[in-house]
Amino acid sequence: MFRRKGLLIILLLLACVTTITLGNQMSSASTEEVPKRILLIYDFRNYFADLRDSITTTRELLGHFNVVVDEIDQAEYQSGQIDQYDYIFVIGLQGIFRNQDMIKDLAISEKTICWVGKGIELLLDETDRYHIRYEGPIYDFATVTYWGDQDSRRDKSVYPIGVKREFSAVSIYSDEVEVLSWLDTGLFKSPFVLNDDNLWYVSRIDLNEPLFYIFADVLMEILPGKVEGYQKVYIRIEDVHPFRDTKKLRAIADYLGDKGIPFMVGLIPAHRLPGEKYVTEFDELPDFVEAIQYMQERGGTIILNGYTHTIYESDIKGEGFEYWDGDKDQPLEVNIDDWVRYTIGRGIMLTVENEIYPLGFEAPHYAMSQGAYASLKKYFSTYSGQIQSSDWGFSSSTVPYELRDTKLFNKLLPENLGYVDPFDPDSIQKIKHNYEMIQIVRHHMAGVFFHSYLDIEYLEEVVEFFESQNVEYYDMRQDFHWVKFGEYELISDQGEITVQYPEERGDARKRLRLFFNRTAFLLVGVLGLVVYAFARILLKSRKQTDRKMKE
Amino acid sequence: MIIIDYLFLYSMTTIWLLLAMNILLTYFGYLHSSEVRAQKFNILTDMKGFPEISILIPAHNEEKVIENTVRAMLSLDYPTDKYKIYVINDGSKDRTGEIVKSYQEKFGEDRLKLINVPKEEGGRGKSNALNYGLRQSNGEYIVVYDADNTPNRMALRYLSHEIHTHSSYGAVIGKFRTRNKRRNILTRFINIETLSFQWMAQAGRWRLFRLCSIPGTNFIVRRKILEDLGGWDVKAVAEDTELSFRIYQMGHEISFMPLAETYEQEPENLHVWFKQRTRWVNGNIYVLTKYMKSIRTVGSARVLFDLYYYFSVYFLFLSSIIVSDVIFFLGIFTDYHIGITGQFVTVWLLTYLVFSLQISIALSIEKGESTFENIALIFIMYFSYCQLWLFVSFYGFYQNLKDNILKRKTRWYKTERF
Repeated sequence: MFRRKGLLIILLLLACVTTITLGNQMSSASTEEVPKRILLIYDFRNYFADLRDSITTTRELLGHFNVVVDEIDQAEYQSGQIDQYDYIFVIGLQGIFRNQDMIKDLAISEKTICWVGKGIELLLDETDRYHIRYEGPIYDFATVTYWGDQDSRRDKSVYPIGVKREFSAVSIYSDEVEVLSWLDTGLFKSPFVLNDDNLWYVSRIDLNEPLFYIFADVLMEILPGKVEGYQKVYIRIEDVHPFRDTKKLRAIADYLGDKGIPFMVGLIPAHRLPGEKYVTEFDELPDFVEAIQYMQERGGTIILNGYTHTIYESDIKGEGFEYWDGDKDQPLEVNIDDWVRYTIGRGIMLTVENEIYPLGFEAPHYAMSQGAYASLKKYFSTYSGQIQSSDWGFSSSTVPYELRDTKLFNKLLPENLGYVDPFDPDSIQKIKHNYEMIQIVRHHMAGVFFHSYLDIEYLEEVVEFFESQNVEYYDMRQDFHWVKFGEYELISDQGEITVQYPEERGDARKRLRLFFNRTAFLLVGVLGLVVYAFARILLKSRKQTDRKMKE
Repeated sequence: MIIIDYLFLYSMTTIWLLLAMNILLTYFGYLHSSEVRAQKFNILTDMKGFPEISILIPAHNEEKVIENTVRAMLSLDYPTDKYKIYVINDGSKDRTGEIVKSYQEKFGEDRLKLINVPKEEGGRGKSNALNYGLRQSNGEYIVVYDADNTPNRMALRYLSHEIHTHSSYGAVIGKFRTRNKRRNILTRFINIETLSFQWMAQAGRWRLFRLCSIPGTNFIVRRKILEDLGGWDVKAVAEDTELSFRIYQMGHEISFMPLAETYEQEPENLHVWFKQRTRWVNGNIYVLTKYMKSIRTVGSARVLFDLYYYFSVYFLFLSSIIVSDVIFFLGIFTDYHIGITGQFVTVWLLTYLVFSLQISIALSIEKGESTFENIALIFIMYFSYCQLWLFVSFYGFYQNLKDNILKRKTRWYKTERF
């Protein structure tokens, strides 16, 4: 009896332990996955005359971390609202925060607060818990010093910050404050980034390097990671359209392929010659199709660079824009969902049917209205390029690392190094500079692009620079990406691309095209023979007539 | 595919069908010429009998040309008691009758007879005049010449020999050549056109399908057939084409005898040319529509073929040319392009080459026609003379429509003489 009871107890205990451990494991797993919540409060969205939306850019930047972001205007803040969040980001472009509830809540909150830019004095007036004093706006800072992560490869820590910018300077009066980055006028220093208890303070919101990159790197100290940390570089071959010289394309593929460098190919699947309405789709040029397939074989990953790089069915003469009205500098006045679906669908169908597999998308000139981004997200997991952060006018901002699951992107592979411009003798120097700047950020992704029509020597120069820096290249095919359009579906993972599409339909279209090509070919053959035969008959007949005349 | 692509395909297919047919015709025309040349027949010594022949020459205000015509007819190498010339003077208001009368007096009524069509029966066109002449004549065979024709002396022998020795032939046609070809570039083009038409369409069709169409002049036909058919169709403007169809339908063949040559005068200016050609188009459309209505009962495969030939020339080919020209100009001046791709420029270039070669071959068969000048003209012709046909065809269609709606009566459509 006792034994039985003892057994029962042991069993019960075992069951309890297993349940508890299992439960623990499960709960710890889920806490790892549950993203932290950020409340982003702002006063204004952009600096005067800057078309870039600082709030959008910052919100997107946060996509590098395992967080979800809600953004609100400071006026909309309601007392107690911060309780639902893990982190509070306050961004002040003008420093006008009239919402007393917000300031009061922040003053007593234990949550991590990250105050970026103006208005910090409002918080400091409300509480004594921080060991910093507001010194007013200062314009004279010339350099910024930032060491960042200990493992950083950087051999430099002082960067010029260029033209006069306004910083909300503070001074510190306690050792408890940790300053991560200093601003310097040459006469005196002031913190650019500091941490005091639960407060992180950045004295200016700035979308340009080096300040933006320093901010981006500091975020790694504050927020939980999402993307596995790495430093990678990618090269994208740009503006590849049906009328490009296929020899050059093959030469590029050979050069990079021989070196084992994976690369991206920004493919424009259809092209309209200047002044014409007729759009040549690339499958009309078998030589071009083969060249692209060859690029794929040699390590190229296709990025769909729009459909025609133009708004070809409308009268808008937008210079090379496809998802933006370049003439009026405003979003296209069309149903953007339909337009995106049409162009992207056409691009996906065309490429897939020709065994060309785009894994990412890139808007021509990176110009895209906010609505178009939302629409695009349905079709492509991955975007390569820069961000147009507002619909106020065409502009682009760049980020230093990969973003995931933001409002605009499922996944962004940023391009931030620039491109080779043969008319700018400094362009390669600029790429090198940009590359140096991006080293500020510990887990960065650096992208550069190279126009396919340029002399390959320029590309060689860029690659040789990367080689001297021992960079690791980003191979898109090794990552997870998806493309979905109706029955067309591509999934890439660990070097393999799974393709699904209604082959019959594609084949029927292809067969028809092939049939016409062959018919024309046959006609040429038949006509050639007829011409030959007739020429012989003609000569013979002339001879016969001559003979008859002589008789 | 968009509609422009379908139109392109349509025009390309039909143009190609006709092109393929013409390639065949050229080859068989050439074959026929070789065979005729290889014949060891001597027309002077090997004739087997001379059947009685009536030559009908309808004339309406022909004072400019009739004298030469009559002289040529009188000097034909054929026993004088075996052929009689009938000039059917239908209401001429000039000296036509007078001239013919003088020759009649000189050579006797047995050789040349002037028939004046009474006013109440005349003035209704060539068919009517021919029917009138047919009733007055009595030869076993009827030969028809236009009033401007000067046949070679042996022409009648060739025609008569061919029809007399082949009982299956309902009619035999000879070849006509341009008398005034050196006059200007238009007559040079016409010369090239008539020669290639005869060697391709006539000789080629004869060799391939044993049929060709009566050209309105320089042909021989059995009187019996004409009587069975009740003469010429007075409503037809293109009475010759119409007659050809009825002869096929009776099961007879119409043969091409290129050695029977006649020379005729061709229009020397565009205005006259245009009028003459639109009349042909109008006439041929009349014939085509007349026989298309009863296509189920025509029975004969040869008639069907010829109907198809005319149909493809006047309806399919014409429409295709128009469509392809429209596509061509749209491509140049607007943004509408065909979406189909292929070696179409090469196809076009080769087609152009084939066209030029076909005509060169036709010319090479004739003595003295395969000159450098003529070959150069062929290459120009494609872009100039041939394109004019578009307007002719258009206008011909328009005329036909107008005739149908207004129920116009046939009258003399006369080609102006020079």
